[in-house]
Amino acid sequence: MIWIATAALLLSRAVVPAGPAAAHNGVTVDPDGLRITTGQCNGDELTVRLTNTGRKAIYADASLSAPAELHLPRTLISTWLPPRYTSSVPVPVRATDGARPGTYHVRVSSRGRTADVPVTVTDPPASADLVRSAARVTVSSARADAAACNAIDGNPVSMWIDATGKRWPDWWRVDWAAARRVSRVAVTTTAQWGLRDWDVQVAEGQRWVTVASVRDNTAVEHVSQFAERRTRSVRIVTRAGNQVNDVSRLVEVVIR
Amino acid sequence: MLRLPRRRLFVLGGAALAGTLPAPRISNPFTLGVASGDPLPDAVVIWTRLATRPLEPTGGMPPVSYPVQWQVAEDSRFARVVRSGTGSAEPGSGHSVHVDVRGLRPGRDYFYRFRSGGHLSPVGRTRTAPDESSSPRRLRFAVTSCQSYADGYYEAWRHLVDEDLDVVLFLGDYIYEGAITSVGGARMDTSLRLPDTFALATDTLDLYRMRYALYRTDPDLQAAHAAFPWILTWDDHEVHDNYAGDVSRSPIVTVRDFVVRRANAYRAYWENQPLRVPQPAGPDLSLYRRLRFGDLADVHVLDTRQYRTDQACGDNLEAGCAARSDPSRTLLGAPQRDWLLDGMGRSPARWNLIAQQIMMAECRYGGTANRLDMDKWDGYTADRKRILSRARNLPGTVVLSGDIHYNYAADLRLRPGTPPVAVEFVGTSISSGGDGSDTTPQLETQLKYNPHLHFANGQRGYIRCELDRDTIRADYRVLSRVTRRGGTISTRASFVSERARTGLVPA
Repeated sequence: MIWIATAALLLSRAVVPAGPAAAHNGVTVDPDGLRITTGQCNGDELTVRLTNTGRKAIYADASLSAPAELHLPRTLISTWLPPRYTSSVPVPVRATDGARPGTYHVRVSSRGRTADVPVTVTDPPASADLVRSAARVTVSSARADAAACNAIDGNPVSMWIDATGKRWPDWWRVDWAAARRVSRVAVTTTAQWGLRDWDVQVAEGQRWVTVASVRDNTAVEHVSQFAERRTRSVRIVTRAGNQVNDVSRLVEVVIR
Repeated sequence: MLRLPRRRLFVLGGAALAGTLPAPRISNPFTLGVASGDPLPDAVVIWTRLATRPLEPTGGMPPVSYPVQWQVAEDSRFARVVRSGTGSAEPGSGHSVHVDVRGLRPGRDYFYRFRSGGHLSPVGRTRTAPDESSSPRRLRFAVTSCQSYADGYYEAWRHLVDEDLDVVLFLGDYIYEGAITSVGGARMDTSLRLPDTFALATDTLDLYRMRYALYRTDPDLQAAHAAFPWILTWDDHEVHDNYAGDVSRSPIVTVRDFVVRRANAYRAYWENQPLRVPQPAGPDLSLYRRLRFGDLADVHVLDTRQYRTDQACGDNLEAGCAARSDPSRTLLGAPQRDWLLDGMGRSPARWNLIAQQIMMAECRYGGTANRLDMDKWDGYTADRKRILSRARNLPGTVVLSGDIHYNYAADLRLRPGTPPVAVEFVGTSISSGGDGSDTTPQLETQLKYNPHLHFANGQRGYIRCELDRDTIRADYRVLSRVTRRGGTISTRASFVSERARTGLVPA
């Protein structure tokens, strides 16, 4: 945790004695540093805490900034703060597309005080699962609560779901910064309303080559194996689902 | 005033800042359009909000105040300006401007516009209410609600501007707090490229402000605001789905945390609507109010979210929930309920319109035990009974509702088998729910289990109402589609109810 103001602000966690001397307003950031890896889906989260230690409610602002190597979906936090209240606001942080490894700084400012949070960016460790080193993950469309990254987060509950009900095909695509050798794509869908038909395609120059076609699938997990290809992009083109044939449900993708 | 040279404007800006640096020059700040609302016989509130880059935090505005000149004229060319002045767009108010323009004449059309930084706003048209002592022959209005940006285009607004209306009633869910994808959800507008700020759940003031800004960039919504004065109230999504008073729907959110979110949401709501009520500072905003249209109609505008007891029996559809009729539970809160009952009792008007959010008619959802929705008046029967008891002695009581993205037309009775004491028009959504369909199995079931429902429909649109001395007529205007532009509109059903003989009859 970084305390922005003077040590007196530490009192905001304890009982604050009444009186003007204790009426500090502060901003803190948790944790005091982040380690993330490159790739659109490999970010982490800071928590910005805005505290009103005074006896009157206030509206408070914090502004956030970062160099071009880091992406912050928000650069401002404004909130009402009742007396002796701390607002905790999560702020996602990720490396921008093409960012080089290094240490970059997120700065959080409020009322003339600034917290500096170093964010160390490294390349992902080598992994047999190539989605770990994905630079970008894009989709034809996504429901707001079912984003593209959900299909490579290792979480069996979250998934990518497209936003075009009853319209096919949809696609989910991964890109790497440099070519990878690819020969196996494992798709996990849902037991109910899961994916039935899809194609696995790899990029070759400017065109897509279908390396596997899955039809009439009813399994939760399906592995497609094919002759090894060197490529910078793989995409899964979904063509139909089971039962309620409305949307694409992609829980996890593992590429080797 | 609008002929002032730019230099003069900068002098005004410096004065407004009381010695601080002059406000930086800005590009066109009128990207969010203009609006007017809460018409009185001699006054109307006009509104705008400055935002040079509306999809950015603070709308792209520097954190300084800007003077904003305004004019109200009798003609659209502003040859006959009748009122003018200068307001201030303050950063602490999201650079919004609210002017309560007084000294106008009753029952008249007016035109208004703003100017700031050398830029001129679009022109809005508005209309004052008739004189309180007058006996207007008729009042025409639309019942609208629920405009989820991510669920479709505002085809309804595009068609509504062609209607001949005195006022638009908007009954809640102006924004939705959930995440929106870069292509605007079901709009699938690849040119939109929304920043991923809109994928964050809206809970802080900056994000609520941005959400309103996104909605207000829509040209069809802007046109609807510019065409008519609006009377607005809110429902739940202006804060959070199905909240009740100071209780979040989420059981892990404490009251202390939720009221902070509510304060942020209410503040942004006030900033972004043409309201006469004072700016809130904290988690409360008194929104219920009454507007009078001569001796023809009193419009009681309710707030069914801020003061309600938490939903009974865990919310959602429930059967056999006794707590829903507990007389200690309230939807309106005692002060608002007493204010409404008193206002109805004293009303000299031919008609009393109760403009509010949620369906008042009993609505059995069928199933083994006839489930009821605990979020609606069915979950708060004590308050409903009081109001309908008052309506029994008050000919011409009409309830106007939104919330559920369906059209319904209902007779309101105190008990089954007794004569109707009021009628209810539930208006469908502008866009929420997407294209919809004429009917659904659920709607069919509801019509079967609820004989007091004369009509149910699941398309998007609005209700066009016309009130005269003795009759109210409602035309249910529905759209062929909203997920793509070009939807066509038609009148799906029409009903009338006579003041002297309450009860819906197909027109």
